[in-house]
Amino acid sequence: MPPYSDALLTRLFRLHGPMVLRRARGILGSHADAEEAMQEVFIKAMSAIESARDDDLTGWFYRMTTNHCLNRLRDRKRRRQLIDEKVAPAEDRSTQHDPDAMLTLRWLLANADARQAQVVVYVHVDGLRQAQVAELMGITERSVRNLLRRFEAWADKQLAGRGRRR
Amino acid sequence: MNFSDLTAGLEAWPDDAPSRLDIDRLHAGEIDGEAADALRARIARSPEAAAYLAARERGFDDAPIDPRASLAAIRRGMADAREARAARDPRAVLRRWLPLLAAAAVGAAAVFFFVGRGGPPVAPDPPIDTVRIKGDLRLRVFRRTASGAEEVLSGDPFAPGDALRFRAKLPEAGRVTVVGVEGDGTLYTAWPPPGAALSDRFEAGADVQLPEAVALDDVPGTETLHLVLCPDDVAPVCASAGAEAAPNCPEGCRSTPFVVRKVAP
Repeated sequence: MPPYSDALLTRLFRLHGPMVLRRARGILGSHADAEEAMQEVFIKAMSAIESARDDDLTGWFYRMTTNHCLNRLRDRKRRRQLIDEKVAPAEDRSTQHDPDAMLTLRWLLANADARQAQVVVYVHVDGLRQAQVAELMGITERSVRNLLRRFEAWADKQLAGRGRRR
Repeated sequence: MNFSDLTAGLEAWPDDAPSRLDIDRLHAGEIDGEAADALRARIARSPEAAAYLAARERGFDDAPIDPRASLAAIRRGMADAREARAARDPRAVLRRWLPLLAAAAVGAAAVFFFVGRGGPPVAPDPPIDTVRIKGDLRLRVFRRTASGAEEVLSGDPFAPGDALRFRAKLPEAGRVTVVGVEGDGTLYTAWPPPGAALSDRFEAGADVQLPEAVALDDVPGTETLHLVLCPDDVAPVCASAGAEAAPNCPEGCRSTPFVVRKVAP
């Protein structure tokens, strides 16, 4: 890609911004967080734009958005906020996801292994097929299946533990 | 509860529909030719996929944010990041002086240039797009300002009488027009401007400038501009299909919308 310029930023923001915002909202759950995350993703993206391939900018923004939002979920303050959101998860009504299920999924993603969490976002939040996740992450389908299996086994233990604590 | 129970509460994307990632790639012009045609056909067969593509084409129109404010925040963030990088650089002190020296040199050159040539500075055209030509038709709109031109986004507010210039992404060569559809469904030709003897045929290009500026009328309200691209042998003459719909254009023509909100100054 050519080096950063304001015209390039404006064009890419107009083209990819709505997608980054939608995915950030899906992963983070709140409009305000999603807007902030979108801005941060674009600042990071434009700082490294020369390393991007112009025929795969969509995949590049997908990966960048996923990683950035997972980092936000892992943030300590964010973890505390997840508990607060239990009281009012209303903003998730803009998607078809069940708000309670998404809240629990976010809690799991905040605590999971980073690679496993990425696969889970692509499969369960974006609804991508495993072959496409493999292509997006640059790994084999078998690796995607293994990461998913490991996450599910770990998540089952976490959910059983949460159930016992209640 | 186990993880399978949890995922049952999550939205399932239809198995037979193209994925959102594919649709995003199509929208971004990263899929073209036969692959794009095949994908469009699959999208047309899936209500969910068609609705998703339509939402992508509306851009920020449905988003509960102000995209201009977000863009401004990103620009500030980029400037802050540059400053932070510069401050960490041991040559920062030297660099702080360089702009002053450069400004002095540019100033001296400008004095020489304008005194010698005797003309006012001309506002530069918007930068040339260097991204390759692929995928869908796209209309970019620039508003003339005192200092040059600024790009405006679909759904942005416009002042009645604003002077606009158009740039287009044309995936193939053909004949071009821009029509406006007013809130009451009235269709008019926004480009080429009335009476202008301009060729409406253009080669394919990622950033094709349509010559001459056009002025918005002074009636506040929402209207939609449609960039129309027709094959070489088809005149780009369209009729209104109502305020909310794409215009009826001859077979073989394609169009893409751009929403203009004219607000009273």
